[in-house]
Amino acid sequence: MFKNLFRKSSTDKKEVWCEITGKSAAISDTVSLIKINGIVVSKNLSNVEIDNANKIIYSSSHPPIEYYQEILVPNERQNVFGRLFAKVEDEDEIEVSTAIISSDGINMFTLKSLILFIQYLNKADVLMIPDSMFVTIISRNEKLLKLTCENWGNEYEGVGRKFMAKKISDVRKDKLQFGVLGIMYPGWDVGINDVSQKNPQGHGYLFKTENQFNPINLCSNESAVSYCKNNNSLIYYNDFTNEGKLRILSEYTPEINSNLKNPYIYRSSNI
Amino acid sequence: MKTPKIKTERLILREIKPKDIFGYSEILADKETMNLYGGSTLGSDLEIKNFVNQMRKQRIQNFSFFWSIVPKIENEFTGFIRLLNYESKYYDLSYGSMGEYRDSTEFNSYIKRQGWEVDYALLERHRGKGFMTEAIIAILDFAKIENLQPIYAKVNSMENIPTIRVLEKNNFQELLPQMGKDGKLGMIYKKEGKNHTH
Repeated sequence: MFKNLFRKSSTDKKEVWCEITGKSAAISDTVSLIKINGIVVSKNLSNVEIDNANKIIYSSSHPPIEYYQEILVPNERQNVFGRLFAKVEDEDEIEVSTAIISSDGINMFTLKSLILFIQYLNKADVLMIPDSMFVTIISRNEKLLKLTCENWGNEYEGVGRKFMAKKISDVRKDKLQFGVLGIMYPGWDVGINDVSQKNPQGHGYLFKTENQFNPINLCSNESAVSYCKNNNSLIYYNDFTNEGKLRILSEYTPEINSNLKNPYIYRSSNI
Repeated sequence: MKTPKIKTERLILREIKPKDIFGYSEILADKETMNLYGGSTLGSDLEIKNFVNQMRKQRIQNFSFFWSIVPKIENEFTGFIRLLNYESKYYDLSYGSMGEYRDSTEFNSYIKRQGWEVDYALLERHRGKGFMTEAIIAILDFAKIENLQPIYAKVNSMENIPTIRVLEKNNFQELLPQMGKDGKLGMIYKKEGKNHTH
């Protein structure tokens, strides 16, 4: 009861951090992320000519290759990767989301995506990514909309309602040990935990929720966690910084990430 | 073969994407819809977390085609339509309750192992607009072109008049009665398609 009394009087600092590095960032660091279906490795093509206007790569070793956009390869890695270009299957149906990522984070995120293919980058001129893999890059092509955060009230740029809220009807917190499977008791909808090798003695959190997902405009994970606290809710979204998986934020997110020693304490949890 | 994108006058039928998950879970959480559809309601959120990948894997295994139904104007998930392959494990899942009889010559004279089953569901707020009729016509055209024949459809309850009307409009015919999960009389419908000549 006391928690409910104080809930609405709590004030948020309205600070955000880079979702990759965990360092201080700004709402204006919001970038769009797109799922890609292939990578063109231009250094493996002969006599390359790039038609930026029509987004076509001409070469003497391959028929013309259409691309969606050039991948932002960090300068210090250009000698390894050369110029890379992303292919998307259907430009009318681009899978796009947003995240707050600083310039350092952009480099880290891009490298993390490309590292998966490093062993193939000397072998192929066009790498097609299997459907079962969800690989995203930072995109500069997507048009972002001006939106208003329904929790903090500030304006931000996004691609639509990324987050879905669900009311919590009950919560259960149990001690959990690394290596021991947590139990999803009947009637509970979703569970998260803060147990890992770095935090072998932690907790599992189970939630009962109301069935209805409600779309909501929120500018950041930080605002989403604040919304969770103020409205006894969970926030669900497809996290494009984590392979597009369906993940959740809750009022416990900062403590979970602190226990997991994650640099970014508003990182979503796997369900 | 990947799930092809199909356009109709008002709809886009396309491969499922992560953003469709919430609409899909809304369908699965709705008891009335699931009674009509014949499946069980969503048990927990864990059931939807890997759904997109599951559907992509099922396509690779030629288990099914899964299309999200997206009206061109709203551009949001409003329902889904699937084609399920009887030459895959789906057949055993679908007719498992019949035991070994499902592989008997007698039963297979009704239900062909080279057949496909169509099933579908729409969010309640999008029913009555003719979306499903439009989607089914498009999928049956696709099946005809790709020689995915014959096509079956299961109706969980003969009280589900709108679904029966949609099937009858598309020349499905009653084939075998079946008992629905709630004990009501249902029906397996069949559309005998002639192979398409390219």
